[in-house]
Amino acid sequence: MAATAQAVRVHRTGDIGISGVLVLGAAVAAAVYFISAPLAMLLFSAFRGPEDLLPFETGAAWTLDNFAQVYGDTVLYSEIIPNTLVFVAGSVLVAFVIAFTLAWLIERTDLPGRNVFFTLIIFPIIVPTVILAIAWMFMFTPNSGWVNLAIRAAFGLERTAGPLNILSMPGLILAQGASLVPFMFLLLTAALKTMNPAFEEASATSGASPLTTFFKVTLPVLRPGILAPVILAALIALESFELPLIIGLPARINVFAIQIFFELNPDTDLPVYGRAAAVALPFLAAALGLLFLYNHLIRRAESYVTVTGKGYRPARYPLGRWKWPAIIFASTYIGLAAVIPAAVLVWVSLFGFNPPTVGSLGKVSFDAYSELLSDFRFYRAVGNTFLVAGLSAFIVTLVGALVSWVVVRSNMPGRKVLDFISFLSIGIPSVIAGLAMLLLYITLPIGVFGTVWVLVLAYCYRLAVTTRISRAGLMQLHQELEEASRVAGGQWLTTIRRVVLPLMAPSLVASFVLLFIIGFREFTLALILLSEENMVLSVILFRFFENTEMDKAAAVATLIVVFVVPVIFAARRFALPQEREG
Amino acid sequence: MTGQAAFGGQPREKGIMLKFYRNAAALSATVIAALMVVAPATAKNDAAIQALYGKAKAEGEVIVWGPTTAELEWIGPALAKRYPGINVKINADVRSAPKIIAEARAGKTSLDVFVFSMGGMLAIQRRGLLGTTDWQAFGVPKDQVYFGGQAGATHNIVYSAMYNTKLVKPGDLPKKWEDFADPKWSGKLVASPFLLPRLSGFLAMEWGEEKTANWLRTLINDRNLMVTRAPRQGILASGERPVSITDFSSVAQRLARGGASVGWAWFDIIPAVQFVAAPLKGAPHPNAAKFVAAWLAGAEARAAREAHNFGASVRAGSNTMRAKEVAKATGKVIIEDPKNMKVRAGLYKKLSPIVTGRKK
Repeated sequence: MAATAQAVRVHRTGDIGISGVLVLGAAVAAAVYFISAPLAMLLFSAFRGPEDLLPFETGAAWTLDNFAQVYGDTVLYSEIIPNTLVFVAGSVLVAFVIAFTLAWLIERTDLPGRNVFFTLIIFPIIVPTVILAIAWMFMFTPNSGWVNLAIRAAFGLERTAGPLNILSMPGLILAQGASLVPFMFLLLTAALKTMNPAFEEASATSGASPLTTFFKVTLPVLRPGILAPVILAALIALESFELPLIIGLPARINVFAIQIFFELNPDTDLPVYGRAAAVALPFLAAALGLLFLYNHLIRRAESYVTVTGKGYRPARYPLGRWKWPAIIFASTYIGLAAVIPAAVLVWVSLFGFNPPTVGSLGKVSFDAYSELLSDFRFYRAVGNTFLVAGLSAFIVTLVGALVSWVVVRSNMPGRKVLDFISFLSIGIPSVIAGLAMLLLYITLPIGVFGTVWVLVLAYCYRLAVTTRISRAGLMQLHQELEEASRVAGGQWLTTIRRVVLPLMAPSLVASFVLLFIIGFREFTLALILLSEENMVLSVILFRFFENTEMDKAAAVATLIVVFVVPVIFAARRFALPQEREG
Repeated sequence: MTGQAAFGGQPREKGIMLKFYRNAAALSATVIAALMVVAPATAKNDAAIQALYGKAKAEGEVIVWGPTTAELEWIGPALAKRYPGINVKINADVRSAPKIIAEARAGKTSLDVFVFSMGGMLAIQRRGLLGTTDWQAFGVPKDQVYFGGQAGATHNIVYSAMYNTKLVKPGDLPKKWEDFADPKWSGKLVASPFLLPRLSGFLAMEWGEEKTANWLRTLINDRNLMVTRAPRQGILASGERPVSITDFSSVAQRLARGGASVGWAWFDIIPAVQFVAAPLKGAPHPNAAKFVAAWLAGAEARAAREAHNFGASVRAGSNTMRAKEVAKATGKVIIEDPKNMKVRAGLYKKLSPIVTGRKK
């Protein structure tokens, strides 16, 4: 393994020139800067008490009380941890099966209308999870869910509840799984897009059946590109508390992440950051464990090189008689996870909580939209949101790609530590990251506190996603491509700019789109760092939600979708090499 | 006591400003009435008020933080009507306290006035971050000024059940909180995980911890009480659960005014959370902070608030509609104050794990 790694990592300081050293040094410094404050705050808070003092206040002291209180609770072991394992494993499995099938259909087959399908599949990740959960509850609650009412009416069932019940473990798993699909789908399409089909063609030529080729060639070659989204999805499911709070809690399903919510919304006056951090630390441990596993499973780096200098052409399987089943599969997912929630969203924005009946049509009201559109603060929030989400996504994607290059290609001392640190951001609850940013930027005399720039800097701590995507993408590129550029006289920076980054475009676009959407939805950091000048759309949505003005919250969510969808469409349309559909 | 949706047939709410102008006539009449009632005090203190107003106006701006937009959005238009020239900026966040503490520690306090529940204000007050003002100039009774003059009572929010008026008749509702444990309410109730422990804290002050814990267990384990963070009005409207047991009469009235088919009901115990306003020490606009904080606790602001969002003081001597309703109600009113605050906090701390599933 060491020999292989050494063979791949040929770059030394002399090879990359002073400009390369400067660029990589800046990227590494930025990555460390973005992540260190939230990480330090998490570790610091976990060992500070008592609970009625904030971790940084005079009087707070080092203590293990937070751990004693969190881990001394027997319910944790009898109920919460088993529930969590079932919930995470189930939702990741559901998400993977759906996402991989969809990604394969979109990237490797001649499925018609792929660009439209692509955008619709991503839809659930655009809508804030709280809104999505509410839409699903409208559809699948046992007594009055619209789908249940329709089924009971269609089949003349006399029961007053069911037959479907989202307020259950299967319901929670399906909901969380469906909400993870776009995330996994984006990452898997990036991996599939850069996979050279020559391997599969060789397998088929050798007489292997499509199934054998899939299991013996496709999956193994894609291992980094598959493991990264699976691991990330597992960690996201582990720390996600919106769906468990809305769908799980009514079914008395208590999972780990709910504990963080209750610690941050406690019965005392202040959020108990110490206990929340103590609950969150296992996320970091899980993240580290999964990253070790990931590194172990992909240790033979050369096995995953699929893009070489020997020619690479994307090829698509003709679906033939499977075309319609494929369309039905994709449409069913899109219908349940995108179209119906979108319809609920638009309905609530226009009709409030009136039932979807003909009688309600007369109650249509555009007040929610007209109020929003007549307020200048809304337009400022739109501008701020595009700026913050776009710029932070661009910075993090670029920094993540360069950090990945350092980890995969260079001999820089401490690169493995850098890899781990960049990954740890996924285990830090955003409330704790927000507190760290607040303390950092309120103290630093750089004049960004209260401006839109503080949000750009704060949002940049989410490096985990992009470093995983970039690393998987980079591992698919053969070193010879960079060597060829160098032999032809290309400086390191030129090679990166004109060879590596363009070939990594699918990964980089996936990363940008994902981070852009996350940036559009993020409200915790935005709320903590809020000022009159840096208001963003997600904060407006959250305030309407807290203010029980759901029609207005739905209107904002609808407009967020309207704003984000063209960006996704454009990113796929213009930032990636195009091919003709059909 | 129950309240039907008196505005049930009206169109849905307009925007914040439109809403305000639509209610302008009612508001003006209420303010005038309030002015007449407090006329002697106003006259007596007019010089002090005008002096402070002059200084506040010179500062030109006031920044008010509070828990929700509904608690704050009316302040700007109402203040401008009576005391023009002070631009009101608001910031709604239920988790403001850590930010206020962090800002004060860095010497960069960015708000002037904090409006919050008395319990929520305590974290700020204990750290010595509140200033003082001349509450008496605005006619705030001495017994409604807390923390040694640092906070003035503004209004109360009163716990009630909120129900779907299409599915539940007022007469069907129980008369006592404990009657919700009756099997007939099985599968019909919804509650917020945030508010249920707090309501239970109030009830436990009357019932004791054990009885309240048993009541909670019965609701959760035997009556299939839906505890969820999803918006309760949507769950009521869809009919999934027709009664929410953790809501506020002011919220129900606000939703009813917007066209929702909801009513509200009080029972044998009427818990009322106390909200207060306080100027901040080190406020960027110190005079505006003192002026607006005191104004918020005075009769004019109380009337304007009630006209806007039905939030009203229910303390004895208050001249609000809500106070009159509470006075007529048969239930025992428990209003949060510095004396019972600690007891209630202790009780809901013990009861909360039942709601959150950490204790059976």
